[in-house]
Amino acid sequence: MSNVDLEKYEANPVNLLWDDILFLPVVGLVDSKRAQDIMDVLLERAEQTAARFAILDIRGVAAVDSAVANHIIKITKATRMLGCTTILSGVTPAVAQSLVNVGVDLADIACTGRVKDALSFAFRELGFSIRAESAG
Amino acid sequence: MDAGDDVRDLIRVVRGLAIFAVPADIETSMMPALTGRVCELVDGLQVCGMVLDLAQLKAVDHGVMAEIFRLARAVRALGVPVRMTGISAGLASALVLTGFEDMDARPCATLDQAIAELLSDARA
Repeated sequence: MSNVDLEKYEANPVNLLWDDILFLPVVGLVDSKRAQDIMDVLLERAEQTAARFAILDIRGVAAVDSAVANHIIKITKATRMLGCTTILSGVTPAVAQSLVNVGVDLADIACTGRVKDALSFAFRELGFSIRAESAG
Repeated sequence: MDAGDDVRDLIRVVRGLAIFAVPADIETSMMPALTGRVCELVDGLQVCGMVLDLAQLKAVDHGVMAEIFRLARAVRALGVPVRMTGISAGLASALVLTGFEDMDARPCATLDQAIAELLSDARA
């Protein structure tokens, strides 16, 4: 693996959070190059693991303009082709308004404010449930 | 693949479902005839669903992909639900980046998942 590839994977660590669920926290600036890197690593891991869900957490993204929003849409469409549904998490009120203001159609994308809700959504879709063991 | 090849060899029937493994050397010019033949076969086999397995395709142009989705649409028009599987990461990336958004068959992560979904739908 070249240094460039190594940087790409280090900057965009995709983790198998649970069976069939990938998780990628995105932190910092997202430009066209970074967006392409994110798509590359996410698709590669989705193909390797045959995961059915990918949680893309954008809470740490510095700014979401129309270019970033369109990159996100492309990433969700590409993963969907592999049978992997991308859930967008970490959508803050400011980002939600930005997305609406730039005219991005989020109708086909599952969005949540917290990673916890994204994970719950994926669990529900996969038929998993979490319950506390009863005391005693 | 030659035009003379029998499409029947590319379709196997598993648990009442047709699995169509799209050959790697598919070309746009072959697709209209192929679509017609697949529709005839699917109709004749009385299957309850079809899986389009694209695992052999590593690089295809828009024309081929558009024709593959046209095939899926035609099969769906026969009342046969269709699932798609086997799209590679590279192919998905290339298709999206070149603006391809025409998805006419629901993609599944694996062939097993596609079969399970179709069987589940058939039972519902």
